[in-house]
Amino acid sequence: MLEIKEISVSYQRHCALADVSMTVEQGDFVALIGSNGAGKSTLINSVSGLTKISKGSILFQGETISGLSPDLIASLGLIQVPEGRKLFPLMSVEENLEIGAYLPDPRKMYARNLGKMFEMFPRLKERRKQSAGSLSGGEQQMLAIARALMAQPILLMLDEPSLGLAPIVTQEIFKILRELNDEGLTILLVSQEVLQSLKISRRGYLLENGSVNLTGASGDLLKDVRVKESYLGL
Amino acid sequence: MNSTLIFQSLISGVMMGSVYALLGVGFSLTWGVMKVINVAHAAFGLLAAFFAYTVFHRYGIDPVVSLVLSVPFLFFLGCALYRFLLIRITSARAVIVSSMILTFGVAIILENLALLLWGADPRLFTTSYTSKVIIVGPFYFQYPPVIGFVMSVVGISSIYLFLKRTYVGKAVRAAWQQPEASQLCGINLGRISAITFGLAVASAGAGGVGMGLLYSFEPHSHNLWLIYLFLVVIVGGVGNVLGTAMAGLIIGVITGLSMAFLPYQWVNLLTFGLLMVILVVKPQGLFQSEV
Repeated sequence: MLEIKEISVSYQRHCALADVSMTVEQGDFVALIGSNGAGKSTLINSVSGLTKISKGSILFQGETISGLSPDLIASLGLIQVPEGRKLFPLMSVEENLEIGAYLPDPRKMYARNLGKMFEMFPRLKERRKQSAGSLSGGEQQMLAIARALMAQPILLMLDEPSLGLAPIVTQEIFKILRELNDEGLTILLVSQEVLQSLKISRRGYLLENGSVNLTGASGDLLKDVRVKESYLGL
Repeated sequence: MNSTLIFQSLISGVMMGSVYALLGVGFSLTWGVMKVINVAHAAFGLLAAFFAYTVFHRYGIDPVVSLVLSVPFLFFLGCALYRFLLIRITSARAVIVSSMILTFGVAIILENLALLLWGADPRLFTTSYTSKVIIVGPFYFQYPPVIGFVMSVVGISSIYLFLKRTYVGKAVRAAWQQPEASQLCGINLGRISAITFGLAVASAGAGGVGMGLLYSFEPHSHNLWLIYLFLVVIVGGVGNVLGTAMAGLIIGVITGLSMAFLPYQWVNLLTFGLLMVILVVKPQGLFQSEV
């Protein structure tokens, strides 16, 4: 479904990604793990069109998307939940969800999808008239996910959804992602929570200093000596 | 002091201020949403006023009615200006500064265009109702400010409702609050910016005709109007539509009252002295910046 072919990204003279390749299949749940500064966000932003790639190509459902503008890429069903949530702070919960359903097709399904989101996240229903900026961190993350789901994603990409959240909230969010994938949604998860993301995902990629150093089934990565030593502290 | 005079000046201040607000609301929007300080904003208003003048004196059509033509025209002109001119500076590191320089050039062009087409003489709408008054009890109201007030209420509330109730309006607010995330939701920033700029320039047209109802105008009048724009926007909070409206009313009331009770040369001193006090005490404006 998503094919990243040997892409490179440089910021000024600093190389953030070097010849990274990666694939995400239909129905897959891929975890992209690695430490801070490894290039995970750069990769996901390149897919979304927020970061320009200097080399390589990105294909989504067989079509080249590298070079398209972010809104066009979103309209193809490639939806990102950005790092730090990036909600519209002065708008209400409901307005945030409305903007999530901004594109023509999702807009037609707005009422139905809104009901689904409120079912999935009852807390958001309670706070539907409150401004997004007044929500707790966990609620904000749920709203960010719900906003992305309102766009009816074909591939959902999440950048550090557990950042700054309490462990119990993180677990709740990961559980929701697991359920979404079980229902058939393709997910690409970027996270520093190596253990948890490998536990819920099907396949994993380890990104170090801008290149993919390890890839395989998530269960195998969990057993890998390098992952154990560097990321799980075992 | 008698209370009738106070009340009378209060009301005329409100009416005058509402027109400043109408002229200022678009200025505030482009500043808040797009970080573009459109120094030519008042010049667009002036253009609409001159157009209204010509239409009125040549065909006898009321200045307010001329807006049916000039508002859509200015909307498309604004969109085009964004599309072909302003878009080039949106990626600049200091958009605010470069936008001021760019639009200053536009203002000079517009001012000289007005000079070329209409000459340097001051113009005044002398409609059938210009000198008529409405008398309510002990108060009397001149027609032109009342019309300006109604225009302002209609104009500002439609912009407010556009931003709060329509999908595109909500997209404008979203794009301002979180440009990157709004793109990830499928919002085309270029298109939203063009619409915002077009809307702002169109509202300047309405504001300009409103100003023309109150004062005489000439090709360089927009410079004076511009000072009031800064005043209204700084007091009202950048990007805040209702704040701009409130600021217009406050400034109108202050000007109205000081006009009634102070020698004329003190009026601007008081108004702008107050601006300085506000800038020192509450530099973010009396109302929060919000779209």
